[in-house]
Amino acid sequence: MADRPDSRDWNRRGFLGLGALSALASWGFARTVSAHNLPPGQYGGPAYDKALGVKEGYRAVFQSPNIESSTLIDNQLEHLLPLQVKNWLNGFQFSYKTRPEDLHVVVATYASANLLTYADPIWQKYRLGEKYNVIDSATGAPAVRNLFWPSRVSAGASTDPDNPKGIYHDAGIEALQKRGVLFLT
Amino acid sequence: MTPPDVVRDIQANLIPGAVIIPAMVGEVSRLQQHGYTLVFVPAFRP
Repeated sequence: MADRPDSRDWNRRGFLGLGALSALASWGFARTVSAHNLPPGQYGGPAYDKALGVKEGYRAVFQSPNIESSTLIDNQLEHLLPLQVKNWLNGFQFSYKTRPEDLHVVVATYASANLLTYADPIWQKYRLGEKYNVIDSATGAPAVRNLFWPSRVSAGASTDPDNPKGIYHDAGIEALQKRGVLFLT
Repeated sequence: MTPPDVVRDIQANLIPGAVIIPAMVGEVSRLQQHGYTLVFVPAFRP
């Protein structure tokens, strides 16, 4: 592949560098990649500042280190973290009748779960599906795209919270972002 | 590619809306101080 970096070994080390440098020592890469501090201006943003400024409502930060926490549901590979976020939102919104605008969720991934926040070109270029045994059920081969990001329903899907094919049962990261969930990396 | 090259490559190819932060352990502490309850998602291998 023309755009593949020169060293495959390097690729697998390098992808850990973003938001996961502190995990490198435990992965045995500390001698080749050292952590560094991001200077002000290279992190955060208005959406995160807004989340930190919230004073009311229900607030939760979901944390996961494992991309391996995935399972097939209706032939769709789902990760436990987005599933739990979806259930958290639905429980408050539909059982406790909390207003959606009073629900605030931040997702904090680290180590291999950072892969949830990497876009398709990174999955393809660094062969992350092969490395982490993430199999694309559509092809039967290691994933070369982020299977966890896209919404699972199309525009115009049911808004009935009891409809399993409706928008409120969509655990795609894209769908959760539309519900206000913020993903850090 | 050097390690900084790879990091820059990843930073340029995140999912839309992802927010880069310096260190996740620090952010979890900050968020808890701002009233966010920590929910840890355990390893799950069916």
